[in-house]
Amino acid sequence: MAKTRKINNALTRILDQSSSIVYMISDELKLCYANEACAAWTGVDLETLVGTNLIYTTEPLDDATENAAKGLAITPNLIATPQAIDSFPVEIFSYAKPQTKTRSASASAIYDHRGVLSGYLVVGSSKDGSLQEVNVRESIDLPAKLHNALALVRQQHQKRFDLKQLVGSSAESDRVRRQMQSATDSEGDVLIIGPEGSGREHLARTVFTSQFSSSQFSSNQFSSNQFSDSPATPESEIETQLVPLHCSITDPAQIQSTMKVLLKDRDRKATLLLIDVDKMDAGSQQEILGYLQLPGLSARMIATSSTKLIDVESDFDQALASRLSTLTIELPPLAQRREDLPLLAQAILESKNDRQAKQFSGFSRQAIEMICEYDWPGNFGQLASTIEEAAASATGSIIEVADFSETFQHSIKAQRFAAKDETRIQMDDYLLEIESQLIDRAVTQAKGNKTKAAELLGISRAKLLRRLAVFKKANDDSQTELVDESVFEEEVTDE
Amino acid sequence: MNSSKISPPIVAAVRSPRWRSQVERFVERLEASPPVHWKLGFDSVVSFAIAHPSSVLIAELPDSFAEAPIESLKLVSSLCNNPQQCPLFLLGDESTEPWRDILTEAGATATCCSILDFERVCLQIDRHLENHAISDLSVEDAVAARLPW
Repeated sequence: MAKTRKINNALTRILDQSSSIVYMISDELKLCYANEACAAWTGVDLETLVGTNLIYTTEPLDDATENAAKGLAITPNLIATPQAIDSFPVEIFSYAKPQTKTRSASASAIYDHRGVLSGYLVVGSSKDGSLQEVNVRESIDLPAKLHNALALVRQQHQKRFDLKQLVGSSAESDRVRRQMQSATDSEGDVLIIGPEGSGREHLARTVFTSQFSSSQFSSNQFSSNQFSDSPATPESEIETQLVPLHCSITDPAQIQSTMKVLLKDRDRKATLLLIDVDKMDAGSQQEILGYLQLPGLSARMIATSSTKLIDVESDFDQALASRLSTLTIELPPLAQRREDLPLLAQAILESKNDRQAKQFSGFSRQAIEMICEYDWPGNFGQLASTIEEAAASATGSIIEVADFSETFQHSIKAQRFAAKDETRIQMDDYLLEIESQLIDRAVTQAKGNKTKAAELLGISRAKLLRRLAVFKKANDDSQTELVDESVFEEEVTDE
Repeated sequence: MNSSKISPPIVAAVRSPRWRSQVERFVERLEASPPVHWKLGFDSVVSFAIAHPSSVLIAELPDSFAEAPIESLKLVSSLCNNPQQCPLFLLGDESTEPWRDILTEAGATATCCSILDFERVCLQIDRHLENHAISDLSVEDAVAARLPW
């Protein structure tokens, strides 16, 4: 017994003093042992670290210890089939500031005397790598590749904002991120335009909350509404206790009371969040504009809309539209940032891992292909609900094509066989265009000589001049100008 | 008829509804509005390419490509050896991935093994159409190029 204890102590000492990261994960995916090197890697003290749930995600977690330890989680699909693979290479991450680091490691399944899986022993290499160096075998392990790519994107772009819908590296995402940066750096009015479900409200709230100090109003208070463009939320109520004053208006009835508060204390710096401003009736638009034009009253406006407000055909009050559109951010529909879809899908799936015991690695290649093929008319909201639905019916840790609902699969088929719009032409106008072009070419060929041009066309000079007059008249009519027929009359009389 | 330049045509031999819808949607969003000619087989694509320099060729690899690649490579070679040197874009699936380099060596401009590959290729096609827009067309060609059906 004493000898066993001595061996155990010696073993613990060796592991604790090792410069390599060594840790053990229980079959319930909890960290049941970690050495000092592992604690240093995560930036959390050993006592706190051991016993933490390991959540497979790149998303920032609310629990600080879980957030630090998440980089130790093993891709769920690798541990789902321990009988098939007893020992496998993994990548582990350190999300400690300032930069995300990675190391390659080796994981081995451990079984008890009955052959039942009891956990995993992970031993990391001693050398750090950078995220860019992570070399995942793409054809074999797409989920791990997407997980790593997501970690890299989060490291590169999301230091300041947690913009769930803007995960991705497409040119469109980069543009929106740059505009977001300008919006938060400036104090000018911002208008965010995007189709339904594109996350325009989420983006507006991010700009809105970026002005608050964390002690007053944390952005987490908006988390319940991050995935949709749903109207009125509790935080939309006027928060008069806050200095400066910030409020969001989703209901015309709120306008008057909000403006009264602003009028009462004009020195307070104010920001108004106007959700779906394009749906506001003409009376409410006039009311807001009237208040904003009052001397001494100044407020920053952050508005969302599904359409452009400055438009000659728009019914929206153009004076208010100009005021709101100081900085306009246009959110592209998902169909225009298709290359972001794999990362976006992975991000949505990983965000589920935080909320449930069952952990998902990602998607099969075919499933990702299907996601990329679809146009997602409902944008982010539709993508999120479709993935959540697939995750709910999935049996494994990788989402397969069969896990998606039949409705979604039918939608893809319907898209493939979509009815085409009929192209119609006006034959008379069409032929007129062709005739006009033939005459133009002939006149050019004849270097402006009408007689020669008429010869080339096989018509009389008089006919050519008549046709030229017709084309000129049509052209002038289109420009709503009067025709000076005298020029042509003169030419005809010359003949 | 007012536009002075007309985009060269796209000739597509695409069987599967999945790829056909992708190509159709790509063409719809092109500003250049190139005429698209749908063909059934590789041979008719080659004949078309001979008569239409600068056209863009898009061809879907046969389903059996991964099982019998040599046969398909012969067909691909015939497409690649079109005398007009039209750019050739091949569409396949993930099983085509290991053959990508060989297909490029055989003369394919690019091989798309996924929808995202095709998205990237679309930019290439767009550039080609822009760079090869034709201004000195015959009237017949200009009319033909504008015909909607």
